[in-house]
Amino acid sequence: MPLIKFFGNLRQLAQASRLPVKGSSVRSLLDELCRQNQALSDAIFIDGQLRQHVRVVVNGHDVALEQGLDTPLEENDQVAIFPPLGGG
Amino acid sequence: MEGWAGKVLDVNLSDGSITSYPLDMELAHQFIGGRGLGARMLWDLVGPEVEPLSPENVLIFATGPLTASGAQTSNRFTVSTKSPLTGTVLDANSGGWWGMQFKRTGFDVLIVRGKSAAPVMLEIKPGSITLKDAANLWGKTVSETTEALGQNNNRRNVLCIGPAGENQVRLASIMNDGERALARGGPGAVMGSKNLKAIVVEGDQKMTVVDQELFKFVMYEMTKRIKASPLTSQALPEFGTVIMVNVVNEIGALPTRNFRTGQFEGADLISGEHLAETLMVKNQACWACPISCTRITRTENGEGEGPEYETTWAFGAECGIDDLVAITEANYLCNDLGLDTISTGVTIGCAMELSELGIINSELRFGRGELLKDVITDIAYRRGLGSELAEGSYRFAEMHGAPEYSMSVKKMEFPAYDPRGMQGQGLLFATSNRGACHMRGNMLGPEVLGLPRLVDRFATQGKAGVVVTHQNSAAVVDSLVVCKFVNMAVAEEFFARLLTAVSGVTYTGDDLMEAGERVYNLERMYNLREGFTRADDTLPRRLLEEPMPAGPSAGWVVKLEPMLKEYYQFRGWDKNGVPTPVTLKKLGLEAIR
Amino acid sequence: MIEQRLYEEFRDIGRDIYVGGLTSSHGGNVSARVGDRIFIKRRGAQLGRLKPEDFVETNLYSNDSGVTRASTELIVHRAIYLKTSALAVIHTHPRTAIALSLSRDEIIPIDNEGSYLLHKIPVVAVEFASGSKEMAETVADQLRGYKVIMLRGHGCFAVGQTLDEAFQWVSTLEEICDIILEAKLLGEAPIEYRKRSDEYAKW
Repeated sequence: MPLIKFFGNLRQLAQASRLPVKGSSVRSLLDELCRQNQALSDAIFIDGQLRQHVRVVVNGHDVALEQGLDTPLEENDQVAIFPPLGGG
Repeated sequence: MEGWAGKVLDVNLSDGSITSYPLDMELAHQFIGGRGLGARMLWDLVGPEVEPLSPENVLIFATGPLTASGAQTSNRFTVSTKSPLTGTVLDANSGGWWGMQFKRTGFDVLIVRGKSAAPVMLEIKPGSITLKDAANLWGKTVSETTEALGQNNNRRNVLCIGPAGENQVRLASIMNDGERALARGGPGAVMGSKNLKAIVVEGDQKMTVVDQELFKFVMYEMTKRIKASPLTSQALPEFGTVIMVNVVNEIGALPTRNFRTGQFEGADLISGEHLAETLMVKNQACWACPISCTRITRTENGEGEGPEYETTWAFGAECGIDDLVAITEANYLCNDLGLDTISTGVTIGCAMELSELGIINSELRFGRGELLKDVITDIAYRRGLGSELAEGSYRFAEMHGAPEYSMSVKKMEFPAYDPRGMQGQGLLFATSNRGACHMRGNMLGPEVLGLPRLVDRFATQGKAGVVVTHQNSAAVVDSLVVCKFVNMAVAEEFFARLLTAVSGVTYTGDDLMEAGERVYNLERMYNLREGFTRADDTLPRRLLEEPMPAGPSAGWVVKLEPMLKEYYQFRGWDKNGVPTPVTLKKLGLEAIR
Repeated sequence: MIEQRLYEEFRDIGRDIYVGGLTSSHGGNVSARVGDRIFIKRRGAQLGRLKPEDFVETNLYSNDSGVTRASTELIVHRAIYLKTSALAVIHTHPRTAIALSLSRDEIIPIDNEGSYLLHKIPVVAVEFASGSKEMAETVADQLRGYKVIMLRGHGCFAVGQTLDEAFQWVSTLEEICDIILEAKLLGEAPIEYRKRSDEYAKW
């Protein structure tokens, strides 16, 4: 199963910093995650779309530059989800 | 005072004379204030024949027309000088309260020249501006000095150097309000070379605003945006900048062990999340700031501000250290001794690598967090190996015949991003006017955070345009002087209208962007006059030739040449990176030759 | 030859503009600045059906030889790139915006999104509103202070760091104008819901 890694305030909502979740694509993975956790769902999605500035990064590569939510996932992929963040 | 106070305070430490005269408003309108005005004045005052640590160098403390107006983040100020670390034009930038208070004394700019025969401090109060003997302060730490001189955030503000500045360490910072820092490039060493220990300000002049209604309206619109942006309303207040550790690590661009690789196995232990859980006491804001990004932290051995992202990385992943307590206490120590945390951490990281390679004989090794405090203290007091490290990583590594291990550009140590994982950031570091610096147009936004829109961090074509825009924009923010974090939520057109409202002089967003471009080109001309050339717009060999060994950015080197070519074209510079006469004329810089 | 990635951006935005009813079949134009080059749609090409050969490339400061096929508005786009920080320019003929521009010197949004994003849209007028030097300088000067402006009776010019951004302003402008028109048609007294709503004109 792919492994989801949570960062920022998503950790409190997920009550974990990492969680294995089933999914063959980013979309199905996130759907499964959100099915299990409504608070996370609200933090990540709005009207069925990823909230602005939420970033999903698979094995270090932002899915926005791959196939977005349709990016396929392999068994040991690491899916990092970042809430909106700033710094410098 | 409507925007600009219109006055310059000029202090000559060699003969003790203190004068004031009107600010050249023509220059002020063109270069705005802060970094821009400082650079323009430096062009006139400090030529290529001047040694940075000689009495002929100057310190130019500058505020901007928005400073002390009460607009969001209108507390910041800058210091301009020729850097003893890089030899380039330098400005360093700080927050807190001192800048606001200095503006309230009725001046835009303070120029400090010459050298005092004995340690002195400058005190600026209503009705009295005096140089006082500082023998009893010399040798004191930053906190001791700040307390002894009666720091009161809203009424009386202390700016000073610590032992590092007194010992003319090239990495020395100037500190204000206790733990705020004018950090990079060694301005503390310049102040120390002048025997100036501190500048204390108490002001009583209020800013007036020409168009109150417009001013309030623009501030209202800015507040809406600051609240709407999750960065400024949630992420920064809740986690501070150190939240970036895990982000940059995840994409494989967190420089680890002196840039040997891009992911640190201990990243989570030094992350913002971990800091929030373990050492954080509360957040804090500078004057007139709604964002509150400062962390107040506490360990068993102390309490203080920080660490920020760059600091956490510099003493953390850069040195292979995953002990957040050791990092935090190293941060407190640097603040108290008056040292730039980034350059100090990277110089130590360089020493660790040279030690592991057997090039120097030392106990330092990657991961030895317990040695940090001793080596930092040795740097501040120029003791033992510290006396070599005090020269900065480049001079240190060069002394031992291994300059390629200094991760620096123009001798300014790198901040916390490995450009092999962020091509645009590589271009930025190679071309920044004060050496490797992320505060001159951080590409973190576009290349990682998707701000304003995500660009492919590995792409090189088209990056130059983004870098130029960010560099110009950073120059605007540094000249107004406001905080880059408010710029994350609010675009230049808001600052332009604020400036119009405050000063009565009409500015558009692009007037400001053009001013930013003007400042940037002037700084470039300054460096060219100093003898810098296209050859200095480069990166360490490790980043150009050694592919990233592992992680999501594996296999990459920085493809600098094509980006640099496009960059010069975009800037209107010739093949050698020299601004063309057409460009200089467009920007009103014909006199700058 | 235009790079594939840039062409696709132009093609997609061009299609959105036409299909979105923001211009007629052969009206409007789009351009982008890359380094010291400008890429601009050629004269006579349809925004809704752009092909790679529909783009002309020229130097930022002056025309390359043989640049005769470029849009008549090249002079305006060039002035914009030289006078502002824009990296992309879109010009269209949005109907409602044009209608409103005939009778006012500025368009002030009454809707929430429009007022938040744009505050106000200036309207300028020039005698020869097509490809003249006077028009180019006037439009470029205005765009130093605003992201989208109207040329009375002619159309809008919008700028951005990306084509995507410029398109957002074009699209928002027409939405603002459609709402103003519809409120007028409804003819009902509006209930003000925004604080400081009379101040947008100051922007």
